[in-house]
Amino acid sequence: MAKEKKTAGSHVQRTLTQEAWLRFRENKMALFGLAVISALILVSIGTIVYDLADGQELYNKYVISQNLRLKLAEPSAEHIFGCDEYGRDLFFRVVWGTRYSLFAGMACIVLAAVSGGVLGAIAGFYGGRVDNIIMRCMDVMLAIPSMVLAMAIVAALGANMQNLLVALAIPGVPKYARVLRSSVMTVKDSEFVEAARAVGASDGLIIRSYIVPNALSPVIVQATLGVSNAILSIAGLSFLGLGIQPPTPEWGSILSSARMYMRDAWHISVIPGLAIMLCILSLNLLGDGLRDALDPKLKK
Amino acid sequence: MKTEKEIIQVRHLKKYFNTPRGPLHAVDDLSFSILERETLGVVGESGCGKSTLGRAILRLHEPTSGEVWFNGENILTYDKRRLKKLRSDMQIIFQDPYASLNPRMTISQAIAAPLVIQGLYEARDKEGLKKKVAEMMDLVGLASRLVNAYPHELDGGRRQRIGIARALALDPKFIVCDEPVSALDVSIQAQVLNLMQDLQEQMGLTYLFITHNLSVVKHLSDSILVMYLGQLVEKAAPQQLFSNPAHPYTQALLSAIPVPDPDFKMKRMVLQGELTSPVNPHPGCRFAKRCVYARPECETQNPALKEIEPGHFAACHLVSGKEIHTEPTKNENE
Amino acid sequence: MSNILEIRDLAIHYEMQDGTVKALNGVSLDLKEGSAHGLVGETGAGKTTLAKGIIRLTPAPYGKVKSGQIFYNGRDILQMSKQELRELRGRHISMIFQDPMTSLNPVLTVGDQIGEALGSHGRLSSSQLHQRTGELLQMVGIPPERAGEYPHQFSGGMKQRVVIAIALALNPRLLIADEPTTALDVTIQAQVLEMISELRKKLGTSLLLITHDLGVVAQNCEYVSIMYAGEIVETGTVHDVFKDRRHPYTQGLFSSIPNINEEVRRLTPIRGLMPDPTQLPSGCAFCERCEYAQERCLREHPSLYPVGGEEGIHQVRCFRSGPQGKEDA
Repeated sequence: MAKEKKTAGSHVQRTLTQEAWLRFRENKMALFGLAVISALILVSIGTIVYDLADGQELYNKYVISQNLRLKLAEPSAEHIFGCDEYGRDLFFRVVWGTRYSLFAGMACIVLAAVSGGVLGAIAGFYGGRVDNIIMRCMDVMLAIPSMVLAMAIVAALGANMQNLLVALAIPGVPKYARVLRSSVMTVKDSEFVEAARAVGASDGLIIRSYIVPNALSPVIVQATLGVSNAILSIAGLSFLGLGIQPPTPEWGSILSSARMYMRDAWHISVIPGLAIMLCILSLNLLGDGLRDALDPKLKK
Repeated sequence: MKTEKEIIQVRHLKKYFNTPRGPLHAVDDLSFSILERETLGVVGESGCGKSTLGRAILRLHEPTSGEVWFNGENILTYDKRRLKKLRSDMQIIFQDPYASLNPRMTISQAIAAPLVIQGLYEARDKEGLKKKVAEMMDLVGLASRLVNAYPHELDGGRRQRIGIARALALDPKFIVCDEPVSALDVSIQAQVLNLMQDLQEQMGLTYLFITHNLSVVKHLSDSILVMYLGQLVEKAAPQQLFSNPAHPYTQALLSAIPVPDPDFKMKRMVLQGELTSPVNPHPGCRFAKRCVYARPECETQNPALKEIEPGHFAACHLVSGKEIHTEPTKNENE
Repeated sequence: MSNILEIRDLAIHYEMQDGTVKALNGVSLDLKEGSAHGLVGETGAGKTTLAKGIIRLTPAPYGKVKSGQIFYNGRDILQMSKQELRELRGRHISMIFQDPMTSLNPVLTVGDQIGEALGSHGRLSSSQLHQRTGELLQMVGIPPERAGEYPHQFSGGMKQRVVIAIALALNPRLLIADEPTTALDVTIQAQVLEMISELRKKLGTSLLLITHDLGVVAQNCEYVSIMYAGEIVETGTVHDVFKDRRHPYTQGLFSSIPNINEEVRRLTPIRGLMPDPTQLPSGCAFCERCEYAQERCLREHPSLYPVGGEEGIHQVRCFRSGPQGKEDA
């Protein structure tokens, strides 16, 4: 019905992005996801700003420094999430941990999506031998179990934030390369690309302003869903002791150290677990909502 | 205002595509020329290579061999730089007004893009571009309030006007029109056809008009070329072609047009079978398998193009006339 | 001749986010038993909505039947139960869609798909099924040996033949064909239309042929209705409507197409565009584009006025053909 419905001129002019937002708005679950993720991002930024402002005083006092008198304290009015095995306030640790999980997850996906996207766009646009070389390399990378690869990289290079990001980004590269390659291949044969070529546009310009903007939406969806995967992987690696090292309050590492006290203090494992779950769920809802909003086939 | 100057000369143009089953002869040894300010109509059914022909002339598909002469030069020898310059003289209007516009560009951006790419305007020269875009929109009859509209907000007719404005922005001399009205409703189709005729007169344009709609091609062509499986089967002025079609395929094609007059009883010459594949074609007439008049030699020998009356050419063993030999090129191998 | 289908005042609207699309507004149509009736109109005129509405395939959830009745042999289709509908579709009324490429299931052989159409209604033994499938393929001019092939092994024209064989598998009384040849080349279109008309003669099937091509209607139908903005604006025998064009829209359609037998330097298009179906004018839907439009056309909505014709069924939705219009003229 789309073609029949629209007759021009009478509508307010909207970009495709605005139209997608209108469709996105209809999806209540996706809006919930967006709200939670926005809140988590605000919290992360808030804690960073706070640390900068007070010179990490609060960070050192509540998040890092131990107070064995409060060891494994249950949630109470004073410590609403209770305290961990070293008597640190779990509320502060979880709140301050948000930025590690979320930003690390995002950074890792941005890294993977940008490098994978560039490779995929080149492979899809030029095709032939270029495509073959790039995509066969990607296939080789896909053949290695991603968690094992990440573990190997971190184990070899040392467990720090930077290495962790690279280790988790590398296995993601082929996924984005594949997604963008296939959507570039469909877009590159469209008549508007031919039209651009017919007026003498260079390859670079065609890729930049004609192909990639129109091929990007599946990558955006994939990336949103990918962030949740990355967060899980970071939590998993931290849990194994290969990720972000204590005493940094990353959710996975809190969970990892809490496992010994599961019987005595349920809250240390349940609360960061819930935080991870909420974050992942919201990202998935957001990703699904984006997919529905950006997919023109579902456009009524 | 017609001059007798040949603006485009196509000689032995071939475009083969490689397929797993062998070369696909999309355009197979076509030679013809187009007079300045005239419209050459190209008709044929899907898969006959008519769209490939248009794209091969513009080098949007690189031809396999042959020559295309434009303004006294063989443009197939042009390097990248000269080819880019040539783009402002030769343009194309596409079939699908829904697919031929970048969905993320506004009307003004779409019309301005060729001007910036060709270096006629600086991207920073906002005022100059705005004026030129307004002028182009006015030329093709688009209301100026639509200047910042996106293609998805417009109907097919308006989109096709954008496509025309984009092609005309560079002030070309020759335009390949690839089924420009077949995706449009009839009342809109007539509006666009009239616009194209007006523009041709105003700007002295030469058209290569590709279509499968025989009534449309008759309406606006000065000369018509009929293609079948990559080959030229007949070329004539519209009057000659419609009153006296020489090639059996042309006859069948014309007899299949449904005439919107209930009193007109069609004498249908229903063709047997369907289009065969142009992959690795056998020697001999490609139409022979469907032709009611086919004779033994049709299966083995490729018919040459013959002039049966002044300006009327056909490639069929059954017609008699003077054989036409265009001068061979160095790429010639048959 | 009795009517096989009588549509009375059918209105179907689509309720979308940004307004109600009034796709069909009070359409009444009689289909005579054994005849071929053409339905002509441009994109958005409501042709497909009407076709789908007849067999109750109005897309849910946003498509809503607002009013009307559709009588098939005296029974209202809109009141039928699911069971009755299943019985109706295929056995009594079947439909061919525009695109033969997407109407067939790519993972089933052509024979299996015809067999499925046969098997879902009534029981046949496998040898009977096989035989009937072969007969049907033969009927549409495809060698029965090809029953074991998949759709991608067929060309466009052949696929449309298979679609027709499926539609005719159960000998329906009425065939609704929605632009059955638009995706095909002219020579193939001629073959397919020829075949449909021969089969119709043989089987006595009635046909509702939806198309935008006036030529196809002239050569294949006895009756025609011209649709505009969800309404029938002119209806009658093909001869009435094509030779004695009364509605300005019908006249405009004819002057918009280049005529193969006449030399016209310039076409006379209909100016403007079809009105936005979410905001139809209260008066005549065509008045914005009409050269005869008067004060009255803006205010009042014209009804279908009878103007006689061969069988006395020629009707036109225009005040100029109405009782007062004649006096004015």
